[in-house]
Amino acid sequence: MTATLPLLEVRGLRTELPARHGALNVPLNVLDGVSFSLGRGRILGLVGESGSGKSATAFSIMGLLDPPARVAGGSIRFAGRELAGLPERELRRLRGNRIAMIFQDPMMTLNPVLTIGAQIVETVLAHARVGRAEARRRARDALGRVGVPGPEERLDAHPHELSGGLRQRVAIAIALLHEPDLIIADEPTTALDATIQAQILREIRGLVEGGRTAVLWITHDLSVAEQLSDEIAVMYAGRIVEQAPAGELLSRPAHPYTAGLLASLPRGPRGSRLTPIPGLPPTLSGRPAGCAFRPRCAAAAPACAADPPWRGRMDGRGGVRCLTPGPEGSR
Amino acid sequence: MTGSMAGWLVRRSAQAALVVLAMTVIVFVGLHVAGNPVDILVPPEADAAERARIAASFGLDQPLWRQYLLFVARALQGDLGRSFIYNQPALALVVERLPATLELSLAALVLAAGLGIGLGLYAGLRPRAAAARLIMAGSVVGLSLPGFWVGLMLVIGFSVRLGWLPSSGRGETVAVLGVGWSFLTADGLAHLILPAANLALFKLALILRLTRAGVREVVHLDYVRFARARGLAPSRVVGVHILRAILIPIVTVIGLEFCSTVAFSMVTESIFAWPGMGRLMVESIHVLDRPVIVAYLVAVVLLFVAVNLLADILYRLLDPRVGTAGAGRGA
Amino acid sequence: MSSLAEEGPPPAPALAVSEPSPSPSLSPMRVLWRDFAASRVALGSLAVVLLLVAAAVLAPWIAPQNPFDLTQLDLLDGRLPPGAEGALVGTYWLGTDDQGRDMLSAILFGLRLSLLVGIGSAVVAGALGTLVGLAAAQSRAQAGGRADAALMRLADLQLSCPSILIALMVIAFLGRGTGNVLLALVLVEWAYYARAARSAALVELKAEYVEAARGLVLSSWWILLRHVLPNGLLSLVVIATTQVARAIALEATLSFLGLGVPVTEPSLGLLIANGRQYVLSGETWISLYPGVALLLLMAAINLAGDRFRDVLNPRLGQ
Repeated sequence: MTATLPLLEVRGLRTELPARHGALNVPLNVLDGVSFSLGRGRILGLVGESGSGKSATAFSIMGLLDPPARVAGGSIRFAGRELAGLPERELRRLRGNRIAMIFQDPMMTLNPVLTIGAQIVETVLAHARVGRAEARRRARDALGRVGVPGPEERLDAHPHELSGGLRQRVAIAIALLHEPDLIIADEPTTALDATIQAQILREIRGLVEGGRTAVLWITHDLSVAEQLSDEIAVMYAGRIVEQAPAGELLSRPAHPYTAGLLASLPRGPRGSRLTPIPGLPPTLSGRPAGCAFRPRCAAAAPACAADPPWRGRMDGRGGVRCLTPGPEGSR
Repeated sequence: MTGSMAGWLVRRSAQAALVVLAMTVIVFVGLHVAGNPVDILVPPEADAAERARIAASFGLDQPLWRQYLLFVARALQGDLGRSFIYNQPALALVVERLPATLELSLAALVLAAGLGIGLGLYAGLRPRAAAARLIMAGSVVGLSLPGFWVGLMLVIGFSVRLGWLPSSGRGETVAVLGVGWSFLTADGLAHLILPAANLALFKLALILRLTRAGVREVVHLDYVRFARARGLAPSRVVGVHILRAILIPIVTVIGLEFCSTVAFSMVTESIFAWPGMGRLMVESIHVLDRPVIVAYLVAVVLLFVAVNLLADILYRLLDPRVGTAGAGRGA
Repeated sequence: MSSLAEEGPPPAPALAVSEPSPSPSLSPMRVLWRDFAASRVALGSLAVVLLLVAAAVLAPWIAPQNPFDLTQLDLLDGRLPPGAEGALVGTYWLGTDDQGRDMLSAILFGLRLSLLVGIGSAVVAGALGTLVGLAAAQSRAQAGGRADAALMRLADLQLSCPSILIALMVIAFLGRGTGNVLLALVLVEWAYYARAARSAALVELKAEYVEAARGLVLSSWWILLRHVLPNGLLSLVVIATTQVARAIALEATLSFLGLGVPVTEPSLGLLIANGRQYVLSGETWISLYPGVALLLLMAAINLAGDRFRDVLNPRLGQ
């Protein structure tokens, strides 16, 4: 990384669900000290199972957490500006403009009762002082840019008249409208079939290659993250347990959880066995103290009951939060 | 779309006609099975010769099915007998009072929908606010209070104690389209407020709860989140994305509730001496002016069927997913 | 991450499976009661309902006066304010009406009538509706469903018609009287039970019918009575609680309009109507106290019923 400031720098981010009046009287930490940074022109893959806190990370950055969930500590610096605690008005100016988001299910992200055009135009008008005609022209161009055939006619279509792949292209077109600095993509290809998924991944790659835009790519699929990302951060139970450049992380996973994820992927030499990680990830209220992966970990030691520190990986690239990291990758 | 809409309209109208037909059968059977129809159609003070003459003139010596056809034939010509009390055509009496009832019911519905949707939006968007909890508690009270009791309390409070508003009659009216309307004069408006509020209360609570439940459900939908993630102004997120989504069930319910508002207006009309057809109905039952009773029932059924038809049409216009060439939701 | 926003139970679905019953020895009924009693409002409401029912049942013994017995009424005691001393009864704690009726006694007896009509109509409509619902389900499962379609269209028609209109039609065709009011209430209510019973029965018949002897009408009725009814009973009871409140309100409305029970045996609604003409001259107690009694009864039934439904609903699905 160069000496200039990273575009996005998250430090010790803690997001909590406050205590409720009923049975549980302790605040629950949805995110428990998440730190990472992301530079322009880079793609960071944030990988984890559902409930690991990857979407909560995205919504914390966007300031879109559903109350009563809230950011309780840490800092989110975006282009030198602190986002945690920024007034809603200021945040709104960034959203969809400097920071854009793409969601998982294109079926659900577009409002079914409004036309595609209306939804793009309203996004143009939210951040640019232009007339309706100009907004519509921009909407048409945006659709054309992401390869939607017949953009003029599509503007008047309702979402249900488009295929899933086209709908996601519309969502991407909306995200790109104002040439954002940061795109947060929350599993945007999960709901699509393999060919379209590959196409969209290629296009995102091409987009970043231009140099200005950074992408935070959230996925549960390690292989998608590998194809796309420069760097990968693995999340487990509200924490980043390992982070490294994509190639290094996949070839030499240090955290037993990363190794476990990798072993459950259909890859490696033909005939090698797929071994799923035993057990289930803990629920929000059932996270054990210390290393949360301990109950499922083959290498767990008594010392793991204490919080493991974040330390550098053996190869010096990235870091890992584990007392008994694998020496260099899985067996 | 227009072609399928026309076909649907024809089918739906045929359905509506069937309901009207079914209701005439019920009214007819009610008249003929539950009591002696001669009693119902003949003034009680008529002598035997007069009874026989009228019985023959109504075809009461004919078999039941012919009598029914006769009844329908007369009804189609707008002849539902003469009122014993007013010695006027019964249908004309009812129709004459229809505008007053419609004005009261519409005023109540507008009040209920306006306040209900507004307060429901607030309670749904800020579910933890003290005011929202108060609103919800109030809505429970509004649902369990019997309407006539509320009316009486309004009279005691605002007319007797405070002397702010009149408690009976329509006040000064202005004739538009040949009928008098209260809401166009200050005096008439003052007379309209209490009865309309009385009639509105239950519907207000209902619409409020429906709106709140809809908002609570919709705010977590991806497309509302996506709308916020695009940086749209809160007014647009709430006013367009949330409202459009919850409006469909609300419009449906308002359409359905219109009928019950018209029916229950007879209670309010009786309390506030509002000269509508509901009060006429109650008085007619008291004095057994049966032709008027029948005329009221026929008029009300026709009104209900027409309103339901209208609500269905509106429903299709609001939701583009419904019934485009027989395609199902989200297809 | 949508679970972050739920306000209901703690967002821990996996954990919740083992959580809610710390003492597995409790019977389902005891669990139901424990969950119900967790809400103080519901508990208080239930207490109010029981108190009012007890007062209504015991009215002939605890009321200072029999308000229906005209020989006990003294017209000279008419329209006395609350707390006034009377010649025959002693203190009129809630005043008297224009007939010299002790309002407290009238309210107790009126409560009796209102509850009788409300609960009576719920029982009759419940039985009738359940039978119709079961028959409809039976017809659908066995006889091609023609009767089912007809019965359900009828139920739809009834449900889409405002309750007061149906009641008024009955009264208009048959005349006033407690029996006709009861009939009107039954006609208003039956469809709710019929729908619930039908849907419960259809689920059960789908599951059991395949294994049960095919083609025997008797056997499917046997299944309905043996399995469906006990399982569906709780949901029918939930419907009944709301319907009792609705029936009481509708009866009161009809009586208020002078189209319900006879004037000689006033229900709460009729008592309120009787006092109405004096409201404008400031003698509000004649209408006010019966109204308070009615409100208390309806609010208590509704609140307790809501809680009952909430506690029961997660179980209804099982």
